[in-house]
Amino acid sequence: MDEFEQQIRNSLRTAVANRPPILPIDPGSVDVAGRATARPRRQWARLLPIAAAFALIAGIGVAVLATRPGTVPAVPAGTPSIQPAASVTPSASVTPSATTASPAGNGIRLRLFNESPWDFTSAGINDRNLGPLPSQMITGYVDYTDDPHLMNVHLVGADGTWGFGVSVPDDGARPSGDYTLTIRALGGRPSVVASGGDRERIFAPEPNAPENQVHDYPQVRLHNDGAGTLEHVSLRWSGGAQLVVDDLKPGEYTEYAEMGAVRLGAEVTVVVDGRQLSYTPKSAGAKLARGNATYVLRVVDGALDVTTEVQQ
Amino acid sequence: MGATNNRARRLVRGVGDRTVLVASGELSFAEFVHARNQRLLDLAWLVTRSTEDARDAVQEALTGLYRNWERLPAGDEFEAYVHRTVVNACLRVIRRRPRWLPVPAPGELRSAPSTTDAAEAVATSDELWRLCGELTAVQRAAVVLRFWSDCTYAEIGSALGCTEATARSHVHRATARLRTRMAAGEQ
Repeated sequence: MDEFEQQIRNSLRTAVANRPPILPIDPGSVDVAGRATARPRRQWARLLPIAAAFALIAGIGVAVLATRPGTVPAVPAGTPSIQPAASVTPSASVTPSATTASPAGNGIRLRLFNESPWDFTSAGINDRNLGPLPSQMITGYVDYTDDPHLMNVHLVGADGTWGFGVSVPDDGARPSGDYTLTIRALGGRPSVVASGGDRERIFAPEPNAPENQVHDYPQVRLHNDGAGTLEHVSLRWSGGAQLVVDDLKPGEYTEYAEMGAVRLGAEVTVVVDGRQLSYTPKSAGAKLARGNATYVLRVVDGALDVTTEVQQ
Repeated sequence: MGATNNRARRLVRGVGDRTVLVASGELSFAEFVHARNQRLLDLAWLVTRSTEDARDAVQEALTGLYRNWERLPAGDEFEAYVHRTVVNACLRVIRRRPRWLPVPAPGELRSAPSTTDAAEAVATSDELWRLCGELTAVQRAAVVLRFWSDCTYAEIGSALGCTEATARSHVHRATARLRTRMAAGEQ
């Protein structure tokens, strides 16, 4: 490889290192897309030769009949009468899961807006499932006329299930109107805030930990793989999570700690011999969904080097 | 999502340039996607030069891989298959693009270097990246596979669906064009 080709290589690497962030692909969405597009096509493709064979046989049959004089009786000309085989009436049992109708009485209308980077496979309020809610998507409004004053917003994602209590006064002064419950990333986990008309009367506190709440977070630990002691070790993730250790002796491992939903890339700072060293990841990296992650820290030629080992 | 195959150990070592995933047993499609997400997005972004198109292309490629997950070849052939799927998805996305010149968002614009020391290398790098945008999509894919993914010409040919000689020709022509344009810019 000559010098110019090396420059091309460096250029591409620099471009990647500085590229704008791209939201990672959720395997679940691929699963759904794959099922939706692939399977029916393959079944259809399997039926094609059979259909072609039938068409060929039918064609030959018609051709033989048409060429045999006297065997096909003449059909008198007339106006063809076409009757529908059955009348189609809308089913009364089909009810849309989200409606845009105005709320009756003191009812409120709620919808969910997913402003977070996570895709949820299921989202709902009380017993109403609003279906999957990918990042940056919004549901339709749902009427809540007769619901109790404390409603549960539930979200199911790759990292577990979250529940939030949404309080609405039930003292007769219950506000009516349209509200959007916005799901945001706060401290590495989802949080819900309300916006809309009389939003002081409706609020979403911190997760109220419903009975079925399940967390499947990765366990994170640090390892000093260098020859010197690392002091004031700090790892910060893009979602706001932080892991701080006072000092880490050579060869030492910390205990595992649960860090919530974090991505692979963490910004690391340490102090070595009174000098602060830092490491910035090139990208946020893949989301750590589960398993044990060890961040291996070592100082090489005065620079901090960080690698990550993930055991799934 | 339960599809697995038995190429785990080889695959997971290829994650990015700084990550070692230690896995055992069979590799599921979900684990593969988690492990290779960023690397595939990097490749797609280099070829398409657009974050939206890169994501579309990788999504499309992964959908294709998912369909055939349990029938995919193992070892090096698997890597070639993944490359081919992603690059082809990129080329399809590029062909679907409306014919306009994209203007980078302000956040994507990098500030000009202010010193002349390292600045020259940075400027060269920037200029080369800009000129890569003038290559045809196939030439750019060939350059990315050759100089970023370190593919052999045979692997590039496999990914682009052409012979090794044609792949060599794509890379040669692209390099020559970049060299010429760089030289013209310096004068």
